[in-house]
Amino acid sequence: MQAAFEVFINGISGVFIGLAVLYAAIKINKLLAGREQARKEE
Amino acid sequence: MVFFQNMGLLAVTPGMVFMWVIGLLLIYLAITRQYEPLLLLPIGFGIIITNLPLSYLMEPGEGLIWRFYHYGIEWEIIPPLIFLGLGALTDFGALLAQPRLIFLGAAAQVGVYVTFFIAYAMGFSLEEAATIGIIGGADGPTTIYLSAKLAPQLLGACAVAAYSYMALVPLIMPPIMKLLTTDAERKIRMKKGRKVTAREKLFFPIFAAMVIILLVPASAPLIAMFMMGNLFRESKVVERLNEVAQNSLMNMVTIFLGVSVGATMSADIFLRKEVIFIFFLGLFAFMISTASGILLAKFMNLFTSNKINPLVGAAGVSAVPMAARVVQKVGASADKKNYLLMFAMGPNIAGVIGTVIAAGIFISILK
Repeated sequence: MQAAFEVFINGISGVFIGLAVLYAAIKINKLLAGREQARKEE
Repeated sequence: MVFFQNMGLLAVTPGMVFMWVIGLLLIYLAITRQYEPLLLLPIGFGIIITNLPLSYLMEPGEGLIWRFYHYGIEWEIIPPLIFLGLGALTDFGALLAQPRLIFLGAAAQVGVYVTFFIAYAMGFSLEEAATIGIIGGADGPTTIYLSAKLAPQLLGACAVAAYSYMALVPLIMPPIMKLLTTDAERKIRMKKGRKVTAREKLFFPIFAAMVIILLVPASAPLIAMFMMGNLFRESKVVERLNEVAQNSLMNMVTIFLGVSVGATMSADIFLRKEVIFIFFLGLFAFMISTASGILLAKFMNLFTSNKINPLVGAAGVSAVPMAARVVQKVGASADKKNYLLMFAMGPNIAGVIGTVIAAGIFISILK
């Protein structure tokens, strides 16, 4: 049961951490590629 | 006469006949009800032909369909190629416009892990429990990929459960969505997301592949192909590759995937009491995943003035784009002019990525 609990905790926290880092990457992407081009397009 | 001795007819067992019925049922559902026909039709046919005695189609080393299965699925070729096509078909614009919705895709993976834990407590091995849990992610290729790696003996049952529940999204999700939301919540109109530039869409698959593979290397085969397919799409310079990835290549591998999965379901493997548990646990996983996405959306609303319609959280289970369409339909039943489809596509796509990450974590810990 201990092994299953470890997979459970690692799994849930891993998915949230993974997508949180991806969230940060989207924000950085917006800074790098979002604003300047949006201004040009306007 | 030797001819009569070699007839398959004399070797038919009641279990095989039962499997023919299951195969015919899937073909019926695919044709008359249009339930995931691209998959359920070849799966149903695969079930029938693999349960014809003495055909040796799945005989290791010599059977025709065994070769499709071995080189396509066991060698991890077909599921990543399906992801290549999915990437070419996916527009990440909705997710990039409202990145906070990515967490709803993460919440929907809670069902995967809760079911994993329950399946293990019921006596399945860790590897089998992981394969059963991933059904809650509602992502067929990922379920097949994980099953082939961790518990090949459950591949057929888990794949059919995953595709069946994906087809039944319009029946499974609405009662949960209505149970967990008030009428006022269902009427919440979300603010339109910002404009996403073409350059952002171009950079995203490169960033996303790097970030996810650096964090969860075991997810690399699926994520790499998914993001490369999307790069084909967003680069707009390889239209031929983009077109092939999302059409002819995807259609070809779908044929081999379907018939191979069906052929894993021989009577001696499929007709066990564990398979019934798998179907129940798969449904449970799907329901928990739907509920957890909705509940996280409600929780996020406690901290923001820019409210999220909690129905959108239900789209965190992958099942693209069916889950998002169901969100739109349930939302429209509360407020006809509330258009939730575009908002729901964000968590819907995040759910695909979340399920791949969940599978990668299972593989990295258990393999």
